[in-house]
Amino acid sequence: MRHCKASDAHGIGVLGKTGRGTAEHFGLEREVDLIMGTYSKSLAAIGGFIVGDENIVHYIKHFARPLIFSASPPPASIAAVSAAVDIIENEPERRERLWKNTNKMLKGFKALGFETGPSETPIIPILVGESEIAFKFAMMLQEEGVFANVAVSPAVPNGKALIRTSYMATHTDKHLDIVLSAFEKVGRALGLIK
Amino acid sequence: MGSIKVIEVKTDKRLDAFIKFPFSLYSENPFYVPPLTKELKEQFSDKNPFFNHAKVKYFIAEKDGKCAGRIISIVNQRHVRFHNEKAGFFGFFECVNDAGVSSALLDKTAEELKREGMEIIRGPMNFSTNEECGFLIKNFEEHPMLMTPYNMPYYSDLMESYGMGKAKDLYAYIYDVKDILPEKVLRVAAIAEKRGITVRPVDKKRFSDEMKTFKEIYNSSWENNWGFIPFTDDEIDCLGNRLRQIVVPELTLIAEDNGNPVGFLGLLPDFNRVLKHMNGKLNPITIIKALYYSKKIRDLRLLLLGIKKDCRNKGVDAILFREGFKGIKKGSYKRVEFSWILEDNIPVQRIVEMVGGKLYKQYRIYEKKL
Repeated sequence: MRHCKASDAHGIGVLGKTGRGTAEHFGLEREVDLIMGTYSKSLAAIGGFIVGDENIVHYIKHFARPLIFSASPPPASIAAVSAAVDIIENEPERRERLWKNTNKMLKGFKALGFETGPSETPIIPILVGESEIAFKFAMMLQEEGVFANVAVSPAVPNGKALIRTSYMATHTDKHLDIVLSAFEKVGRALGLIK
Repeated sequence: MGSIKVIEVKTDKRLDAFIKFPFSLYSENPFYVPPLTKELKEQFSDKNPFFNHAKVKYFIAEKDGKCAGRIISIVNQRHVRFHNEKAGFFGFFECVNDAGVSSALLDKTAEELKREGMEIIRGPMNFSTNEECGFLIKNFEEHPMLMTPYNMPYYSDLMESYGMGKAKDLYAYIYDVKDILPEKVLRVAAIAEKRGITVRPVDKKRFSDEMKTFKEIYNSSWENNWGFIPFTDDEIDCLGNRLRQIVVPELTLIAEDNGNPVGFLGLLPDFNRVLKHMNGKLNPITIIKALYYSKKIRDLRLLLLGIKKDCRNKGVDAILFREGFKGIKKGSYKRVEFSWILEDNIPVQRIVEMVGGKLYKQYRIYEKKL
């Protein structure tokens, strides 16, 4: 028997007509047997989940070492997740706003001359090359008042380090313009864009 | 093998036989609920606005000179136009457990539909998806709730032996009323409230206006559902007249977004509890019985639920349930049936599961190419 598993950390709450994730986005909800995701992105908490048939979930509970050695998620975290799910299901305008913000930033980064790869979610990577440049870039961004993570080897291939930017529905155009001008300034200073 | 004859119903006497046939067929069955003969006659008369756009013929089958089955052939022009599909229907099917009789009835109907240019026979529909439709295929051990089908368990065998296949399954869910609603419903209702969604009971003094509001919501929210045909104004008036007597305002609610109607929830007391004791008759004795048993109704059927397309996933369902629940508690009702729901209507199934409903009955609509 073959199973299809979707690792949907970036898709849950964001992709699909009603925010149910990548499987909904591609119309494949019936084809996907297991969906795994994190509580730490659109669900605004910490922890994660795997959903699937009851028997498979029982199996995972007994054989997945990371789960066996994990503590249970704290009640406050679960309450936050529940509230986030309610909002995802019933406040679709937030998702619309998120996509508006994402598209604005994708367009903005491209117009400045940055390479964003084939990204299609509100987590937009900016390719900068060497790990050292990525660290420098992030520090300089912070000086401009913008916080962003770096992803360096071994998380990404050598020489393909990136700055990872994430967007929220509550970002305003003003916030996003500040981010773009900070990237422009730092990108120029480091010779990544003209 | 006795001789089987299928006869078109053209006289009052035959129509009487058509209407009375189920009484003998189900005489030993404790779950069957006979409809009121008077109401059925009205439904079959020219007063029914359905006939403005549909051509219908009634047939009974006789075996060895005794009534052994009945059927109606239906050509619904609104279906043909709305779905651009040459599907004809059969309805009001009742039959003894004899594939010879059922085949003769279906043959006759198929012949009628073919003559009208139809390419598919589908059913049962009494007369359309806006009324009773489908054969019960699971859970024969409970009486049917208001305006839902009940039939002999062997009907699915009769259909299959005629070469009919499944067109669509319909589900009924049951909810045993608890002390409180699941917390999730209350949380989501609060989201709707924050948006400015309000809920009010229907105004029985302006009932026909309210039915028009319902029609607007129903027609827009059901638009993409399988088998759906929009209500006409006449049909809505007719349905309104049928429901006016039994509608309870606290259980029939309209959701509004800043004054504009966006959703509708109609919980109706299960009057089949009463009809069961009237045995199809409307006379002083059965009316007294009706008054007595109407106070004993503890089941409700969620017959009407609609939320306009652009207002879905905004908590309107939850706030309607929250307010409806108050009416349920006030009337001390014990169970709510949600029916029917298309087998592939996952969003509505999720709403029902959110409230705590469990799948308990299944109906099937059959079809065959002509």
